[in-house]
Amino acid sequence: MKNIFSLIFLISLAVLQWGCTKSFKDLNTDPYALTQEQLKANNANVSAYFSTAQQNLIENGPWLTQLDNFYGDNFIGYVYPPSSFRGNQYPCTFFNQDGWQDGLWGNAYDNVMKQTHLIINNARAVTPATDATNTQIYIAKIVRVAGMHLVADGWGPIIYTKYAQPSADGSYSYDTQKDVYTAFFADLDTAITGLTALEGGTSTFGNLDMIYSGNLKQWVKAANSIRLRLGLRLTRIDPTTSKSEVQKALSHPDGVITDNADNMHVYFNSQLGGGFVQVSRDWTDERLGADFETILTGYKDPRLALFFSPSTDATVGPIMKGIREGADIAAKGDYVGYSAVNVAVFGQNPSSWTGDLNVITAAEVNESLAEVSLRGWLAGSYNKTPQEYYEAGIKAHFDMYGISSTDYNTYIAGTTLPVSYKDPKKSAHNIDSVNRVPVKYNAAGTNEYQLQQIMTQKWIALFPNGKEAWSEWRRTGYPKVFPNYLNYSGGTISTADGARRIFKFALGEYQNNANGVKTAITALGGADVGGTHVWWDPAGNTSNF
Amino acid sequence: MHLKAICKPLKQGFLTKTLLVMKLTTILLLAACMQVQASAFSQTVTFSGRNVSLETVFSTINKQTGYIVFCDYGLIKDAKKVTIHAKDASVESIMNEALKDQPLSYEIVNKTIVISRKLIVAGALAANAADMPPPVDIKGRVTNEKGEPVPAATVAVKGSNKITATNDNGEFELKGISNNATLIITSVGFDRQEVKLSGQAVVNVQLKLQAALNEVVITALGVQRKAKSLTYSTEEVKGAALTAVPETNVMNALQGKVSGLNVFRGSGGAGGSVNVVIRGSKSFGNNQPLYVIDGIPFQNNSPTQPAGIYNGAALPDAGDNLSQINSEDIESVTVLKGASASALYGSQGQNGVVLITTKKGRAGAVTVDYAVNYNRDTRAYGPKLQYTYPQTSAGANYSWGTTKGSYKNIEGDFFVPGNTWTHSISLRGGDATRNSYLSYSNTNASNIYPNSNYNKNTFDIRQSNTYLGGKLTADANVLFTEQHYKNPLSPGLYNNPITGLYLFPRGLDFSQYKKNYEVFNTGKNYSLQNWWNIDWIANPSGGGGDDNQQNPFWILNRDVFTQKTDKVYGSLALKYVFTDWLNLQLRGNIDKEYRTLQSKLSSGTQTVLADPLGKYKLFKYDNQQVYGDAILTLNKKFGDLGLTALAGTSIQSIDNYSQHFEGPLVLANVFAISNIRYANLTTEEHEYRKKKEAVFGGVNLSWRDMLFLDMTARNDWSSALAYPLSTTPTQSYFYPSFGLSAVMNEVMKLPDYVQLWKLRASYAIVGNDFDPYQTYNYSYFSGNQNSVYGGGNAPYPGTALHPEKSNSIELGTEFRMMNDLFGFDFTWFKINTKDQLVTTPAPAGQPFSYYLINAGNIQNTGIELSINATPIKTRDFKWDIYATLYVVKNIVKEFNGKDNFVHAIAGADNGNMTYFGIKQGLPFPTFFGKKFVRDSKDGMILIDTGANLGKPLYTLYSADTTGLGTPIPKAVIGFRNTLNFGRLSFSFLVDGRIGGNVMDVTQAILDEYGVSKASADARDHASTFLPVKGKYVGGGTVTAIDPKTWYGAVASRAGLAEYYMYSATNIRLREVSLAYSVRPDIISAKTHNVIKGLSFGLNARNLFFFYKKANFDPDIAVGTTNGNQGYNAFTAPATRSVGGSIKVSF
Repeated sequence: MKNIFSLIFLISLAVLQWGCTKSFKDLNTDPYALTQEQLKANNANVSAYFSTAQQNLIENGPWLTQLDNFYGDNFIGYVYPPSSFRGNQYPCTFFNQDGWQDGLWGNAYDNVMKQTHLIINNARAVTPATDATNTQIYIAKIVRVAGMHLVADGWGPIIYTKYAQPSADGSYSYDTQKDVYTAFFADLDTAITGLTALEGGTSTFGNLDMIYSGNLKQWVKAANSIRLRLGLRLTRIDPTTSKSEVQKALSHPDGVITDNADNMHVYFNSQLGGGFVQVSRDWTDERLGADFETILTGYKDPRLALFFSPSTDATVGPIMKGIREGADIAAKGDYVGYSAVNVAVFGQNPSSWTGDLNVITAAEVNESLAEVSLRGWLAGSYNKTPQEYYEAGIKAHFDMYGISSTDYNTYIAGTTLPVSYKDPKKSAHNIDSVNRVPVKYNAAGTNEYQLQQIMTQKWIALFPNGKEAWSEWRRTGYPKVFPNYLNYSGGTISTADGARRIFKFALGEYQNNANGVKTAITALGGADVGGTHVWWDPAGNTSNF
Repeated sequence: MHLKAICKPLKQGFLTKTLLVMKLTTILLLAACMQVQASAFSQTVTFSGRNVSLETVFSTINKQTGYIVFCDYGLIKDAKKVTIHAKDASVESIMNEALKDQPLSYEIVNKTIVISRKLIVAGALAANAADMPPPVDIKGRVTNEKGEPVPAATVAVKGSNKITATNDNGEFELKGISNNATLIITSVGFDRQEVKLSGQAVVNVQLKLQAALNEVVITALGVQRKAKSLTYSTEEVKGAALTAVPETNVMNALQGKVSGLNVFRGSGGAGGSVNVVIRGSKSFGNNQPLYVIDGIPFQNNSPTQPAGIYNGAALPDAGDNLSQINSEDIESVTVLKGASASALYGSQGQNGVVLITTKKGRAGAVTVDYAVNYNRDTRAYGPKLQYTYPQTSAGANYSWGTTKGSYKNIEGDFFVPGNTWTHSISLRGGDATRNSYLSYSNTNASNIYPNSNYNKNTFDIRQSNTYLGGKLTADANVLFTEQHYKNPLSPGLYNNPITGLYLFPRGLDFSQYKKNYEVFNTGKNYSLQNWWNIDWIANPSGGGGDDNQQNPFWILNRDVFTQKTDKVYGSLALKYVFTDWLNLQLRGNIDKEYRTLQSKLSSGTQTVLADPLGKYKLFKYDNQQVYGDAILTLNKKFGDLGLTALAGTSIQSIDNYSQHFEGPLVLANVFAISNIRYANLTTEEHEYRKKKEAVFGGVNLSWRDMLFLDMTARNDWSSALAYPLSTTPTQSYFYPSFGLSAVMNEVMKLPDYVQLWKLRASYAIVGNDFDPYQTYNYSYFSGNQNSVYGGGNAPYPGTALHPEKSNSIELGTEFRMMNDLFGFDFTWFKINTKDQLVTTPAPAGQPFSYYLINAGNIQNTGIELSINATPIKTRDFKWDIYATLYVVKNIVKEFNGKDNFVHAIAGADNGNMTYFGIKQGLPFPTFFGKKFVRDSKDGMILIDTGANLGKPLYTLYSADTTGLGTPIPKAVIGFRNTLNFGRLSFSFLVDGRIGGNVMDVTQAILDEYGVSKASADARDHASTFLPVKGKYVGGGTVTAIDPKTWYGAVASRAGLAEYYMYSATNIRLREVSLAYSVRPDIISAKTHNVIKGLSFGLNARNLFFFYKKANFDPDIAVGTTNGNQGYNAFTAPATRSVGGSIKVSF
């Protein structure tokens, strides 16, 4: 009797419990989180991903900026860390540090690829399709190409056309770099064609459009300019496609960005933009590089003093002094007094950390046009000489920083050569200059000589976008930079070859997409080490024409 | 409202009784509420009736006085009719008259008259009052067999409701009792004793220690069980052992006192949180045990924990809830170590359970206890620094100068003694039906560095009442705590005062920075930081300086962190005893907590850590837990077979709400949300909601009190397992436990001096859920950035998450002999925790960053041994030893089916020296990091030549697959001795941890900066400096290495981890205490009975190490989470504490 009671008691409680679990689904829904349903209001599920995508087109924030310094900025001599991380055994000395480059990979996938994927997918789901949502799809495609080509250029094969499309075994396959480039051009085709037809309207991203505030014509110009950049990238591997893509960009009625007013840049009014200043001033982990110092000093380039501050090290004196690439640094204190980034330019108001990240500017595009002109590939309304575009590029860059025309006129007439590098702290770092071309354009020079001049100015104009400058250096070999003093690559990167050629695939991919990485290595066509060349940078081919 | 007597004709039976109890409870509560109203009724009764039923009489009483008469109709339906004529008579006289010749008695409680069957006892109560002998007053003393007083023993007069309890001197007093009454004396741990009076006025009673076999222990859910019937291991620590050497967080006092338990102290100093690990780390997630106060689960929130060495962005250890308990309120702590013991708590008990039993009121005259403790803390073990070599060069960060000199040791300019004062006062008293315990305590502590303190006030009100002649017990507890906490030391490199202190370049003048930690800036009109490498005049935009050092006094005065916590905890437990073998218990509690954390970083703070105009961070927490359970317990003997069974249900609902505001300021140093620059304002709002429901049952069968079979089953339903966006795979999980034990000395004939030899075995499965909102992908929206963030985690596509599962086997034996002069308890256990929730990076090819999967199998095997012995026992001297040994082997048996990968766990930072990882075949967690490269033949470390002459070759930490050890010790020992010389008691605790490795990031950074003593010693003997046995890459033995080259290569925050790993083995004298209690008769006589007891104590903690390899105290962890143990990164130095206490009873 008693036990029966207990049983009844227990069963009735159990029944009661079952009844109460109905609310569990509600309880397990985070009340302050978003559901996709909520995001659908006013199509926010399309627009709300746009801010993040734009802000991450170029690595921002101190940590990613520092990674950029390690992977790109230092390879082509813009900056160098005084911090002798890990006893000098780190990426700047070609040491493979597994995991470090993953931050750059992850940032692009989490914040550009994912966000643009969501914009495109969610916009497609809006029915009926409207001009507004179509515009958003086109702009997202441009942003995706602008962000992801930096990844493709660094790693070679990437996950692009099969993004969010798992293979039967759950892995995600990589595209060859060639296929990725084809897909980039196709994306740009779709976007340019679509936006050109809608140019009378404005982008429905509205004030979320941090780049062009909804001006569609400027977006088309930007897309054309990116096509020009990517087209030129193929000069060595596929000159035919290269030429046709370049001409396609130039033939479009809207043309490319030749005026600073059309520059594609992301302006931040937030902490995000201050990375460059934070790494240099606050972390003291970034100083002027020897190449930037010697070339700009030789040129008496007024931009050097804008971008960097004089050394504060008593043994150096108040001059511009950079650190040799791959320097052997015993202790951080030794080099921390070398030239730091000029806070006045890169963090205009220290209390607001504002910053401006340039994606593609008139200065770069003009230098590209100089090369196109040199190659005789001009099309559309573009018909100037290489020298005219070369000087227009310098002018555009001087104008960006408010440097006077007088200074400009003096500068372009400059015949001085880059100076040799001298390290007051360690004479073993000393090295004679290698990029021996002056500023003054030599239209009578060989094609290679003219290209070296053009690429040197493009390199200055790209500062501090080290990854793009690194790609252009790999493509053309210009400007010539100092070989690394230390090379801890264990033989996988040749010092004579000048720099690392690729990034190693992400550790997380090796762990969680192992079959995918196998497709990547096949697509790469070489070992996954720093010395392997990407598709558009064929090893052994050193001629540009 | 008009209440009637509720003597309704109910069929007496099981169900009706249950209903009656429920109704009764309600009515009692109502009655209590109605007391004010009831006073409108008359206090007297006028009645005239002949041969009327009792029902009529009761009804009249109710109408006229408002008194409710409560009875079982069965009792009065056959009662004799009565004749009563009374005018303005008291209720008592009417009741006496009505029940005069009836077999019934009554009791009046709170205007409720409860009728019960008259107890037929040998005493004199049944006799007519006229026959009663004249009442007498008696006094007495209760002692144990050694003549020591037994405090808190209950002394009851048989057959009456007179009851009292002994005071701390074992004394009691009873007034107005019959001179031939029988006293019943009971006390926990002693046999019950009856004493028949024969006219004497002084009664001295000696109690006999309860035979081990009948000892009662508290088990899961607060159920009391006979110790010998348990099939698993539990261990109890008395409150006195926890307070002898005071700790602001009482859990710290458990170290070395319980086998199988290991306490890692957080870095926060006074009031900081602790990490208690029982039987090793078992889960990739939480490894803390469940804390239970008086049977009810206690939420132990620890809202912020330091996150690695770059802790500047986060907050320091904000303490936990355990630190809010007043240790003087604790009666005892019982540790349920294995899953079998805690199976009834369900998933929360997976990591073991710490049951805290608080003090209750006790019957007898009110006693007031006051205790005051004072402790003085001093820095015990700091790193060894050098003061002989100067700054490398003017303006340099490092002190790698080569010219020897002599510089001032500046540590003394910073560290101060810490003072802790604790006052606590408690009142206890009561009678047979009502007992109260009221207490107040105040703790005021300062840390060993300036402007850092901790203040705590606690109030505890405990009321235990019995009703219905003892059948219904109500126990209510209200606890209120408020706590203030200022500037606990934040470990790591950021916002930590000791980095600046230690790294300060030698040769500069520290005193000027101590005197003026800020200087007035005329341009800004406020003061900015004054530090040797921060200069706001030369660098107006940011001041300059380094992220890893600031003026220590600036940090403590201008980068202030404060915390304020208020906690209210209320509980009510009702227990109704149907019969001596069946009872029902209902319990519930509400636990409310409000916390405010503020970090105010002033303008002038180094610009990595705060924005140029200052930064404000505000965190608000509003935490709530509601818990309720109902347990029906049956305990009956059927001949040789005994049955204890319980069935119950519980519900627990957690709702923790939090807000976070953070951002740079617009006006300098105005710390308000409204002054945060909107574009950079970070806001977060979260709510952690979880509801768990359970039904459980347990059966314990015994045969002749020698063989026991124990079975439990529990089913949990957790809201965290619900799938809001898809079909529900399961929200429910079931797990059983089985146990067997045999009392061998009953089974077979053993020598008489063996009191107990028991064998036991048990097996249990426990499931565990996880945090809410893991079963679906969600993201947040930032209005001021107009963007979606988060949303990177999702369950692995196509799979459903299920609860983790832990299987444990436990075998043990217990032995006691020679009246407990010697005994031991031995346990072997094996625990496998499988299907844990693991966050694993997702492939880049899809829009998630991480997948959540069920994976893994961590196995913990080990033994626990505790030995008690009394080597010497004479009349005046006794020496007791309690020794514990705990050995555990922890290994990851399987992880995600991927053998060759090391999975980083939370808090791991790839940019630093090492990280914690999980790898199959290695302990959890394991350090991974850079190692030396050794010659494959002779094992010599390879040293580079040429440009890198003197630098060791090393491997990458990503290449490290064997690890650098685990911080979890292999064995933990405790050796506690208590020596009693009459009234003087001396005790000490030696404890040790054997095995395990710790890493010293502090040392690596001090070496890098050239401020460590090691770096000076190396320079002293530069020509022969040989830190490792090495050979050159090309061959040739290394005879000396340049110190600066060596430390340049191995030191720094990203240094060569292997060089900075130390054995964690340490043995220390943890506690010493000396106590003396003044003879109570002397003190009472001298103070005219005002002071009844007086004792003095001296205590010391952490006096010295017998053995230690590491440069720091290996017990201190940066934080209490899995990823923050076992390394030192400028954590607060360990302290040595000496103090005294006075306890007075009135």
